Amino acid sequence: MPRPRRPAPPDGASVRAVEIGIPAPLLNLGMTLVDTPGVGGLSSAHGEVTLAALQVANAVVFVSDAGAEYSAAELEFLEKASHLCPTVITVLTKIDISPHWRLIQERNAAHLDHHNIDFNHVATSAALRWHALSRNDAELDSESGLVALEEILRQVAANARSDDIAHAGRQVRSVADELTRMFVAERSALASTSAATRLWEHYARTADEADALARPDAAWRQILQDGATDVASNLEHRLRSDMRHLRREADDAINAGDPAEIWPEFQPWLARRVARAVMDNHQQLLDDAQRLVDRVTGAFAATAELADAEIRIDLPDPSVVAPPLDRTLRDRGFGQHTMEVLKGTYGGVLMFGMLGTAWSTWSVLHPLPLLFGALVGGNAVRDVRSHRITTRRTRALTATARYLDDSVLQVGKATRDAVRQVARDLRDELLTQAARVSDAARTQAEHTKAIADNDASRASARRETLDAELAALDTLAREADRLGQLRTRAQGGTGAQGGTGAQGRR
Amino acid sequence: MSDVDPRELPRSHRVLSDQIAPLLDIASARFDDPHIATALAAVGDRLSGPLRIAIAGKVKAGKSTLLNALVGEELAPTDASECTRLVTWYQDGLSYRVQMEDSEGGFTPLDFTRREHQALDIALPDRRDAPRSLRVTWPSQALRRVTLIDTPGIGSATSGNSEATIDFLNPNRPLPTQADAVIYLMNHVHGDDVRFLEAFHDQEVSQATPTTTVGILSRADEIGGGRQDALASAEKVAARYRTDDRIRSLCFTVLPVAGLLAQSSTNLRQRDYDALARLAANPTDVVQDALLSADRLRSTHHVGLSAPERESLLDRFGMFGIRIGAQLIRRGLVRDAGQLSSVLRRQSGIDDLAALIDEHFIGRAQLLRARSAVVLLEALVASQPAALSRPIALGLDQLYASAHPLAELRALTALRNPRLALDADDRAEAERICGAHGYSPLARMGLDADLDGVDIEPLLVATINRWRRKAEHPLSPVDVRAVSNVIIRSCEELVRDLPTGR
Repeated sequence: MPRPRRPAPPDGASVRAVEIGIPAPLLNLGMTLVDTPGVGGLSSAHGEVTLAALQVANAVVFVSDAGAEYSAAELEFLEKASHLCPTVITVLTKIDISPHWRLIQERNAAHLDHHNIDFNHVATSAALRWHALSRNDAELDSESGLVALEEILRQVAANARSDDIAHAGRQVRSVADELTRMFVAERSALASTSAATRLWEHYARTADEADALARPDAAWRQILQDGATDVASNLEHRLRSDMRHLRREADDAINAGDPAEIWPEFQPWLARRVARAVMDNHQQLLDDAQRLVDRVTGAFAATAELADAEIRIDLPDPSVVAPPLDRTLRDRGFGQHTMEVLKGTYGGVLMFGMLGTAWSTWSVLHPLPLLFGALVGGNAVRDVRSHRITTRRTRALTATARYLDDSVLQVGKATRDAVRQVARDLRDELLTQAARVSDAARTQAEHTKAIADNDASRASARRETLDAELAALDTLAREADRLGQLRTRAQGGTGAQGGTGAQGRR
Repeated sequence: MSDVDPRELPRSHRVLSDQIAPLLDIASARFDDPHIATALAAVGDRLSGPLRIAIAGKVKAGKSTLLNALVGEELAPTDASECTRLVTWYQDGLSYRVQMEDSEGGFTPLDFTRREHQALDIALPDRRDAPRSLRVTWPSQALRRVTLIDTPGIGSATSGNSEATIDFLNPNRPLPTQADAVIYLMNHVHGDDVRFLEAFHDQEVSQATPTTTVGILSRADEIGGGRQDALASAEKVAARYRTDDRIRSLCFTVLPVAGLLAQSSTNLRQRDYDALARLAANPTDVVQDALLSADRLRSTHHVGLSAPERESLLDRFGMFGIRIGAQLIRRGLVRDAGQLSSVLRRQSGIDDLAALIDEHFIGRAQLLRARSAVVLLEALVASQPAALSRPIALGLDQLYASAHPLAELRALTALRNPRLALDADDRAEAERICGAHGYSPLARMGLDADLDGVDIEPLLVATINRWRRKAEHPLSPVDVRAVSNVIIRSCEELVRDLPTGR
């Protein structure tokens, strides 16, 4: 597989990403490979880029050296990655020069199991692959493990595609179901005028109840309104208390020594901690928004079911409710817009360039005093230039406070907007559905009424047409089911570790 | 490691410990707190004992392997999984002994076994209160001048292991860290590494400084994917790190070392040579095929080696070592175990590290040990009532005024600060004059050793004048002036010590 090489970055330019187009069979599948900087690398911007890329990825391939098991930082990254990205593929490299890679692989697997991370595992060696290609040796090629990796990537690409197909399949199925129900109802109405009258009354009632769902005092609307306010205020409170805590910690550090000495270290530290708080906040936003959507659609469906079991409300399939909200929303037919809003929650913060190596356990988990204890040792305090230190401290405290205030302001605004947007989209979507049900029921009611008044010969001709339509719909529904199940099957294939058979490769 | 003749050291280094000893006596007379007394006694002992060098780094960076290579014996266990779980001291002594330090600071002897050419197997007691550290006493020439301290890896996924190291090297403890110098191992430099190093560095003379830390790009053989030119690529990577400002301010230098190669070449056996020779005797394509990967070598039965022999080669040399070794033998470049050992050892980079330890750490052992004592005394002055600690504070002031080597040490640290307004040439010269590359007058002036006997006084005078201009220039920042004054005094001392009757 020809692999894109990373070009030397132009001097001083702030390049965020490089796009390379090459003709390669693997990429021809519609796959885009994103090569990200290493986790916890020397430059603090790396984690941010890696994380941003994960947000939009279908799978993450985590590459580590076969010479050593995962470190705490790597595990933490993997844990976060598995929440952001549905498929985690862990790859060991350099197995050709690591005699004990199997042991390392076992230990890695044990770590991942301990953290409840689902993964596919492949052990690879680029050197073996290279030799295999140069001597055209298929056996060696399979030993390199890259064939297995390619296979998994193909699978991921196929899954992504079948996700789309399955979605289309489910849409078709629900339309077919709705038509079938209408036709079946009409056909039964043709049997007698009394049945037609009963049906007409039923439809009329349904239409009224669907109208009631759209009224401002409907239960689900209350839940939505209150829920959105709660979510927004909880998130804001959480953010503020995190920041206040952080500020206290930062103030202590500044007051303990000479800010001029610790400043170069202090800034990235503060940025990392803020990024961490924002990340947590964003995760909370996703969770809370998801919960709100569930509660509101639940209430909506409950009311709708009371109204009529026969006219199905096209509610999202529960199996679609996967962790990343953007995916869920997309599957639910919510606009691209909502996704953008949710992702945009990061926007303001990312401009500070701060997500940093939020994953580096050491700096984040250890309190600031340990990091700077040495730098601000007792000597500095006894410094004769103490009045200058006091000035510097005041300036450092002000700068820190302003930075934190700005962060709260930006993130708070972004969060509130995102919650509001989710609520608005959800409301519009459900209102549309209620209107649709009401319209359909009214149309049906009129239709049934017309049939009840009509003569017998037209009724029998109509019955034949209906039978033919129902048969066609049945075929369509079965075809749609086949497509709709693609997703479930594909998911079963990539679940647990070693599902690909790559695990035991020699 | 060769012994350094103490007479070659500047007189000021020798005097330093003489000045500190009375201060320690004063301190122990004034404080009757048992903890302080113990700490003072320990620091006093350290003034005359061997230098203590800790080997630290991320998990699986190859710390134990490097330690074995430096000792020249396989002592520390080195498995594929993480195996050092306790801070372990390896020190010289009269008899073979392993002791456990419990949380109270007491020592209990432990049983251990060691089969020939294998790591120690220490029977740890199955008790709830975990031992604080292990002390391995091992009569060894290599340990005579340094005590090596193996530490658990940083960033371990198994919680508890890393804490032991962080605690051991923690700068925030009231007592000075127990290591005089640190060899820090890293694969590629990771954010964790930099933060860890930063955490135990200090701007002042106390605690770790770039002078007392050497970075090792370990597992250098794996950097280039085990290819034959792997060490050359490792050297390139190391060179890049050496010029990185952040790393420069943390480590004196960065050296690539192929730890496994160093360990196995140091105690290479005839058996190993024979096995490699038999492997190399096969036709070229067979050898190439077998050495494609570790798994291939394991499953290739027709190369004249038994399965245990192949496994042992893999364990001891790694793929890189086997490839290099077989090639050296095949080309006839080495003809016996001794030659193979010395070529591999040279390739591994361990000789460079040993030379650096000799020159850089052992060469200034007295200074480094004295520094540890000063750290403790400073901590006492800062934490104890002024009435009690006043004489010590005065003594320290006198010490700083008279002990120029401490000032030089501090200047060396300041010179690594990227914000110091000096250009690269000035920095290099200043580091040299402060003794970064040796304390002989020629080394300080950057002259070849064969120029011995040349009159360097005019050069010294010119240097003093140049730095005096920097020191007195009204636009020079405070830190540049401070460094310049140290350099001027270093040069003046060199002039003073010039042989008379030239």
